[in-house]
Amino acid sequence: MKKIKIEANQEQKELTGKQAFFQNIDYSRALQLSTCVRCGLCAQSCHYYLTDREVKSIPAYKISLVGRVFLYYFGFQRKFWSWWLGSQKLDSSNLDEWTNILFGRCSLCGRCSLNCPMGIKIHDLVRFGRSILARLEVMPQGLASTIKTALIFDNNMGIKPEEWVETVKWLEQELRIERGSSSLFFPLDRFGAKILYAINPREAKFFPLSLLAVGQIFSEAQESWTLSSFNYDATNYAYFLGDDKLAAKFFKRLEASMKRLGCQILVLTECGHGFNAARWESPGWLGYRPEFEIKNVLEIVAEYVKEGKLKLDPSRHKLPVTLHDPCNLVRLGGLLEEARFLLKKAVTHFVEMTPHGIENFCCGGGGGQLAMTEFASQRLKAGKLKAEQIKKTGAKIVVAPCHNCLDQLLELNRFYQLGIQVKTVCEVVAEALIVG
Amino acid sequence: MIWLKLSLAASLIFMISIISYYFYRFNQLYHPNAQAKPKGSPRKGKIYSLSLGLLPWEKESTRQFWPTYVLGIVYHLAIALAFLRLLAELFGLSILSSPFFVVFLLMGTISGLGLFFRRWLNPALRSISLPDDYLANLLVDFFLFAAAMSLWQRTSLFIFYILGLLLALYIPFGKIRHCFFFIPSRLIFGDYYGRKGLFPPPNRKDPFKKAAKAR
Repeated sequence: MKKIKIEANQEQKELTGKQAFFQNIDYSRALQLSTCVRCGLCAQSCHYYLTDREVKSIPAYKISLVGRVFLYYFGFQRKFWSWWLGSQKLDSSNLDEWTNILFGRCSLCGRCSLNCPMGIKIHDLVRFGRSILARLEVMPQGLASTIKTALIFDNNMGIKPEEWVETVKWLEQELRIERGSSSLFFPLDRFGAKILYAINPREAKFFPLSLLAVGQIFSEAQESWTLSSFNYDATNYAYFLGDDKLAAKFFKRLEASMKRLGCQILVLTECGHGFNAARWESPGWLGYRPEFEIKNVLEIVAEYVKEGKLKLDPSRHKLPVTLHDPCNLVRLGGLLEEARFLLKKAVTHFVEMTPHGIENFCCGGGGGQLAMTEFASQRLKAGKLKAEQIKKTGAKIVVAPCHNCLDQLLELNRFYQLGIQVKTVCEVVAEALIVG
Repeated sequence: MIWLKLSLAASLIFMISIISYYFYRFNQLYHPNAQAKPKGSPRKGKIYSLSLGLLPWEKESTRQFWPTYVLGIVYHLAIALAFLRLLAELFGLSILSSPFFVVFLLMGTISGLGLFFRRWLNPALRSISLPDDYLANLLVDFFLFAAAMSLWQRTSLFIFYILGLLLALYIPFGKIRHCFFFIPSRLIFGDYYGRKGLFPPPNRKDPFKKAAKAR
């Protein structure tokens, strides 16, 4: 396995497997690794196992890789019973298997965790395994490239500052044309705005209409908001790598923008992992709780509708619409109702998938899978369950409040010939907006 | 018999010492010192995780595999009963000796064997299993059977003691140690989801409430 250094100037000594292991283990992980009894009940909850039926895809097998090393370094038994209990040293002989399984066969969706009778956060233990690999500088090339780009350009798509400013200007013109008003703005670096809106750089590059939709919604609700000319990337691919220090570094960029612009609420775009990382994980990485509030745009838009600031006309969407619950936003992010509340207000024919909510299946695009082209065929295969779920609803529009999910669903649409349109929640809401 | 009782007591002390040492070592590890502002209640999440969250219909895995769930519950209740009985015998207390317990302990033994064969016969499960999984199961099955027999026939009490002793010596090293880590693990789990407002599930349909309403 070829080693990859993420930060070129980092003067870090090469670590042994044991050192890497002990740098990332914590109390809860040690305890949970001691609890797995290999009952196998997690198998049927994993979209990888359900689509390929391979032992390597069983979540209990995935965490057993880490568990074996845990026993080796943490038990009395390493010298005597390695065969009996499976304890194993972490060295170059098992790094390939770790990488292929922990990165290639898991999207960190947490569905197995929810179904574990022992209450083991399996997804966190897989992430722990990834973090050990990251310490050893072993990781998929694609994920490493995305992170490197984010480090160099301050966004993971490598958008240059002048390009971003131009995009915002163009969006402002579009917004004015759309709404027929020349007094509307797409604010950039507005000091003292209440909301700082952090985007997924993919929106600026490939999906500007989702940004336009948010601009329309904020304008209609007469919100005090702004974009930032730099440090605006809501994504955090270091989260997928399990590198908490690097993940903290990415979050600190958003924190710096909040301080620079004097905003009160950091609102993240429809990006599942970005929201989970910023809202739930960042305090653990930083060692303190950020001084500002962190919300997802869905929470804000749902509030507008509840407060009557936005009026929606559902009759504009007559085609059947279904919702894909992104794992990082719903099962791991706690936003169970916001997206469906909005869709029920914005469309006439809303159909739920089976299962949905916190039990929903991952689309296969989570866990950094879209960045790891090495595992693309496995990702598409694992998406079969989602494709079947969508087919069963009969929906023509699939709404996904997450840009990684959006990409994966677009690929599934082509691969499994679903004949659907894929949209964000804000796009659907903006289309239903009654302009006052 | 007194020597056997003393050896059993020593093995139980040994077991507790090793498990305490594990907890001590785990506790030395990093504890995150800041957590996100909760959306729900971590306390309620923990309570749910150790109560209603254990019910079979609360999780897809147990809804789909309820026979495994039933076997597991009977097995674990029988183990708890057998251990209580072992302690009662050790301290010379004449409790937990009703004939009903014989039946229950035998049911526990059968459940344990059911889980053993499930592991052995299911190819996927077999492939993730280690020798420890089989030995731990069989050791506990024999222990349960001996517990039942000791109620039936006092002369077999020494077998119950010996198996209890072996079990206590084995627990800290094999998978059975999960019995000590299960509750803290479920608490961590409950805290994690409770904090996010997902435990107890906001739209949870309580079957008991539903039944009461129907009445």
